[in-house]
Amino acid sequence: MKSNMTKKTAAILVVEDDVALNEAYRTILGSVGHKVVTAFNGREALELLEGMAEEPEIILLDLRMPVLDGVGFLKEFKPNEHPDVTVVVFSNYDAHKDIDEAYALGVDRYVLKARAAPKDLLHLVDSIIEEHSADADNDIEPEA
Amino acid sequence: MHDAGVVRYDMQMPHNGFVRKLWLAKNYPITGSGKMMGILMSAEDVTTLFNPDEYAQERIAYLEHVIEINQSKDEFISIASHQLRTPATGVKQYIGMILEGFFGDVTPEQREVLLRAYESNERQLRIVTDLLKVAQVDAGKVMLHFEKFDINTFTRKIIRDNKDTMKRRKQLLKFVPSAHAVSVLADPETMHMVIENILDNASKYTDIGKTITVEVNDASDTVRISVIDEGVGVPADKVDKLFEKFSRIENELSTKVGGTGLGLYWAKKIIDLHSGDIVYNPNTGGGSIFEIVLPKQKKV
Repeated sequence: MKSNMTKKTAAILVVEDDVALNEAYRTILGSVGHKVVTAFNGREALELLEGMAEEPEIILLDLRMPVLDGVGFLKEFKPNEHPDVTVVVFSNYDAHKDIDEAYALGVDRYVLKARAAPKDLLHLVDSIIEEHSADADNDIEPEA
Repeated sequence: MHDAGVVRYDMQMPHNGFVRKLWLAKNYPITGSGKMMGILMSAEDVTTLFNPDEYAQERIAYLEHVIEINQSKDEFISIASHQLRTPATGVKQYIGMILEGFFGDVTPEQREVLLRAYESNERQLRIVTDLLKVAQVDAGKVMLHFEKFDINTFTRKIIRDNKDTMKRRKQLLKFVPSAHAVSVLADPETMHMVIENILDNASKYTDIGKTITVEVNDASDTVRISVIDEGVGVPADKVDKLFEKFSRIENELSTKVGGTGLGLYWAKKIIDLHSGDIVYNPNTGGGSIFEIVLPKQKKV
């Protein structure tokens, strides 16, 4: 499983307050060479983004978090102003209200965390990378 | 026969959260030869004879209290379920990583044990999801987005998506659409879940090698989606309990299936919101027929 799952890698920001999940996502994504940076709430994520030389290609965003939650993050980050960043909401809240609100704020995808096994997460990231390369037609430097 | 005299007394008794006033009478009937036959007791509820207004007010206050308790109960279930999902999602990730070979090879024995742990956790996630769905429907928080669509095409897609699962259980899934396209006004998301839920039940309560048939029938102002199985069926005296919350009907497959007793309750509530109905009928050859009846036009 570990080898050849992903041909190309991406820089991914994981925003998740649950320590076990945060660490799990880092391990899963890191295992195939993605460059993973993690934050534990929306505020931390915004601060990290500010200090980055280059924007990540993907942001995995939890919704319910302390300090600044996912919706708060989206309102400040404004995904529509970052066309090269794909924001995926990774939440265990699946009420219509939450989903609608996230999409209205410019989120690209909404995934119910409890449904995604490690391989699903990797497939998701692969498909986003594929979309990006189709869009931009310039490949991302693979990480060894 | 005569009696040794009647003893009467008043009593106040808490019942469903408010006080009822009772008149009690105790009597000792005695036979002609003077033998006591036993004790005869009677109780009469006389609450409303005293201060009927006060009684009505108490009752209203009580009902308001019940509504409040119910709301906080629904809220509690919703929050608790969401909170429970997070650690279970963590277990899914970590066991999933081992199973997917992130940390090297696992022996077949280890794999089997890990799969059991994984499945057990999946079941817990399903229970939490069911609890959440029920809490939402009970709280009136289910938002339906009605759309007009052809129920034949819609059902065919669900059948196609579930064919592999049935194949793995060595069951044949047949689809009999109605002769012409039938449009319904329904919420595709919940309708999908309801049909899938009934289909899943049919499969789980049916032995391997049997057939499950899904039929769409076009009646004049309704459309009927019937799921017909050759399974264990439902005993006649248990049919009333089918759509009740947490009702689990014991049969030879129920322990193995391990359902939550929430699926059909939820499905019925959703179909009610569509002004439709779910009806159970025994299959004459053995097994069950669950029929979803939907109006072609949404009644307002």
